[in-house]
Amino acid sequence: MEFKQVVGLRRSIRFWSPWQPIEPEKLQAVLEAIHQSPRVLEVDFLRVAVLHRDQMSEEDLQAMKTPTTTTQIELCPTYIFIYADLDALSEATDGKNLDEMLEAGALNRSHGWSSEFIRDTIVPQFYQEVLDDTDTVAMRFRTPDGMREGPAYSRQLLALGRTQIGIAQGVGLLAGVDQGLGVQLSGVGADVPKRIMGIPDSWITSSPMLIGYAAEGVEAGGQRPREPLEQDFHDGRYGAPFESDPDVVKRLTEDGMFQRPAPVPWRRDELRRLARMFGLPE
Amino acid sequence: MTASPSADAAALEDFRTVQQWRQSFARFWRGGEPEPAAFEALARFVAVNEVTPDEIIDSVLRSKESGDLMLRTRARRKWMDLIQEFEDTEQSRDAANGVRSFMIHNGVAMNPPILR
Repeated sequence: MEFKQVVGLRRSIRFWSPWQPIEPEKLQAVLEAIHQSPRVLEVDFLRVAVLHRDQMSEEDLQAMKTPTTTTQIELCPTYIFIYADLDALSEATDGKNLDEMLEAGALNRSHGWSSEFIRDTIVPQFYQEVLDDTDTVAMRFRTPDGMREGPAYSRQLLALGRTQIGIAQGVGLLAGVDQGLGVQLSGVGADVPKRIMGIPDSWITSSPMLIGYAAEGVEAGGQRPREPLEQDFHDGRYGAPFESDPDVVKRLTEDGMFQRPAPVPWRRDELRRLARMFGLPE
Repeated sequence: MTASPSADAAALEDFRTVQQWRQSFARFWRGGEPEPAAFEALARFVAVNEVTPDEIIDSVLRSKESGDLMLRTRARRKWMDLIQEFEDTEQSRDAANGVRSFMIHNGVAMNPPILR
């Protein structure tokens, strides 16, 4: 699928075809794309664990639900949990990741990079400083016996990890749409997947990506509203709006990045029929 | 939507939360109102549980001193379980969904398991 169409067609899907699993090759294509996500500080923070709804016990599925995500979790066949392993930065203090980037010609002398700069400056002054920051947060985990305290990490490191997760989520969502699948980031009870998949304490996560075939039409009711670009995007300084050129918008519309706005005229009918098909309230 | 609600269902009309249900339903679905069968299901549900519609919602959404509403998780869970019992007793997903619709349009999120 053409990139601008992928961007234009992405929606948060909330109705899935629960009977239709994802083909393994499509799932792999999405995971391979996530794996190619940009790395924060060139550190391999990224970890992924895939969980299939039908592998879960009824009790675990129930425990993972939240008030507004119950239905979508139950309808969706596959969940991709994207994690950042906060111990990855300690492991990267050997500078190997950055040396590899030097060898690959990605980090260049023209920009001031050298093995000496990595060893003498980047690792001790940047990586180690993040690790040694005393402004720390202790991880806390819900267990059947109550809350359990885990390792403590600096807030800077947590921010880096969360940034990594967000980048990978964005790539994963678009890769899913490119495969013709429906995608969504959804809140779940995070303690359940941690327990049943044996996720280490050093891995932090955010909303998992639900992925499967959408039961909604491909437009899923139309493109969702956004505030005007000029209101939120600035040019040169705060308060100077980045002006959206109508000719560019017209071209992007022709290419599929901008689509019919929600709600399409039949959206309520679609929602009502979907609700009835799955026995859901109106 | 042509049949009139039963006398029991009609007795619910004046409750604040029932009016809210009607208004929210019409707003979201671009007109119309819940089926008469849904009002009747709510009437049976409140009778079985010896409670009024307003009491159900007020038990879940408590007013804070600031005036904001706070959702009480345990109360919500209790009503979810009672609605499921009601569904089992009546052998009717539609009847239970009528009550769930009343709860949802009053700001109390809940979903039954999907039908496969």
